[in-house]
Amino acid sequence: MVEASGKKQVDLTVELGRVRLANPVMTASGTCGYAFELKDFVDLSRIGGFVTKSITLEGREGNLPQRTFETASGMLNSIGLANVGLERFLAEKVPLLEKMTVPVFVNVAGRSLEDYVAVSEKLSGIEAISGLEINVSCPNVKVGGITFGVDPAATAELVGAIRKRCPETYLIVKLTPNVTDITVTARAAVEAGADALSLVNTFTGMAIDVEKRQPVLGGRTGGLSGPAIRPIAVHMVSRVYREVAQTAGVPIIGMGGICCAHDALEFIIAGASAVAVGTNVLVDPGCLVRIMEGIGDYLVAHDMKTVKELVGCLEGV
Amino acid sequence: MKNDAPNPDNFVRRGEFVAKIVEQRPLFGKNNISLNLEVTDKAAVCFAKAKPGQFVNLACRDLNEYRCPTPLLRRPFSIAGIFSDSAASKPVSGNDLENSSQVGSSEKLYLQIIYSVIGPGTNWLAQRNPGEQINLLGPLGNGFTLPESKDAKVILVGGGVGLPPLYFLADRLAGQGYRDIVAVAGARGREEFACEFALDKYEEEKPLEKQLVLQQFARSNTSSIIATDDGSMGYHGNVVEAWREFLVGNEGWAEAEVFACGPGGMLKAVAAFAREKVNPCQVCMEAYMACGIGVCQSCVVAMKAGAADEGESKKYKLTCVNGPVFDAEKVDWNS
Repeated sequence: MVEASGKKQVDLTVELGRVRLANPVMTASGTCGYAFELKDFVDLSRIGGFVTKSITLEGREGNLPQRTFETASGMLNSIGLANVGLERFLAEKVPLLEKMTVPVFVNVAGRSLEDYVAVSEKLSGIEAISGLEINVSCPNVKVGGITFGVDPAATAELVGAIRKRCPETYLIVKLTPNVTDITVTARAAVEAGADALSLVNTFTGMAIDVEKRQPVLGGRTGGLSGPAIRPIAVHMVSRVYREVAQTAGVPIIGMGGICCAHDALEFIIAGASAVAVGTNVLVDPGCLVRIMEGIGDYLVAHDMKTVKELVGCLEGV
Repeated sequence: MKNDAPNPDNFVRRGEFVAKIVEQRPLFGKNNISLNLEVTDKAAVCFAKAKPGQFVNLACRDLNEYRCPTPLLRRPFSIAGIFSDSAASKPVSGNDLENSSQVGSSEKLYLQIIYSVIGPGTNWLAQRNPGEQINLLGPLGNGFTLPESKDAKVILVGGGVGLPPLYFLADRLAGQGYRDIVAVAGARGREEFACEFALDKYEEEKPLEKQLVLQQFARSNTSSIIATDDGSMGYHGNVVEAWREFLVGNEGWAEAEVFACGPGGMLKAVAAFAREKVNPCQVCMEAYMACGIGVCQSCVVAMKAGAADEGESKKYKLTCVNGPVFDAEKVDWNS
């Protein structure tokens, strides 16, 4: 129970299937490092869950700079899954994650189905890791990533293969919005064994330097995130909840431009059981705790006792 | 690794703070402003230990404005000076660096930030008035490492908006007892100097223009050589040419330690000349940055083969946490 404003107590706990979070506010992969990088700026014991940056089988240097570019109410990034690779992650980062007091989810990416399965197998059964977030939606790598996420058959094959080799592992599948109908890939992931869905990853975009007549980003295209994408993300969560997830009993982690409690509430009302904050963590890490507190304040103001009552309560759709 | 070790007992050395604007003062040149910020309590303790070369990441908007968060990202600014009084006349010497009790919890410190108004972030900043508050993250990054010997000759080489961290470095060097410091300050033209000019009392025989020195260096008794690409002020030429000319007749300065900050092309030329002269050289670099705290992985600088091996990448270092100050010999200037 969390004390919100005044003396009223509200229950912010959420159950993402068999994983329980003390509150619905998580970090989004790629915006909070491997473990405690943000500790000087936010109390990481007060967030609902922590999602690491993407881990691949081999370490990756990432894309050529320039890697980010600010846009109207948003940001393009083309980092290219820069990470230390599985071996160093296990040796150097997992011991840090053991000290994390909230549930930890490791984001997994790869070039091939075999890569994803190998990384997922190695990370399964580690006590410090509550689950894996399978990234089938990174738009910034030439091979793998989003190619698995735009084709429902490929999504199903990949998730099915990981599920088969890691039957006990809690699997979140992170969906790309760069598809004609996100409910199709959502359904494919659920039928292949996903325990939860996270949506949405970034939208592929491009910024052009008109003097040079070249793309601004070293990776040419990038993923658009931030408040600019929020209404589209909210709509996608709403559709996936009503058309796939609600019936299947699979929780959604909603994300896309969340900056404040109001934004998070939109996603929750649309059908997300939890939310993740990405771009705004880069700007204002402390917002994670304020969003959690703001959700509590909303519950008090609306005479509600639990955040669960809010999930998917959208009317008039 | 030392940056992310999760030790709760760690001394707090950086954080998210609110600073109060004490003054915004136009400087010489076009659209250059000196911003004086007051920090208190924990922020004062952290900034008392800040090193030249470190920076702050300023929110150039009201962070509580969510409907139109423009500009979305923070803007990084080098620290141009840290003072114990609001008149910016008493630089923090750095002698108390290892003794946090020197700055009590109730004390105040004053940060100087020098910026040019160029985009939406700096435009917003320029419109703020004394008394208003600004949210910042800092002090961030790693600063310059001072020469081991206080007898070392020190050459500071700065270009355009790269000058401010060298003002702070000159303050700190003087405060620590280094005596032989020369600054070479360059810009494309006179309008681009982010500083104030003063008459050099020691050089009264020179024609008027030559008597000018940068006040921000003069405050630490650091003499300065002015150079402009277009010849509109001081030496007609770039900073490396001015530095080369200075060495003629000042052969004792051929062995020096070099500290530089400026645009990439300038730093590359400075690094090459320092290498030619076998001078140790530290460069303070700039990169497009989102978070400033090591999580977004945007602000990479390519390192020479083998130079980045101890970090998380074999090829890149992050400007925000591994830098912004790097050993010029380790940077891959041809990338």
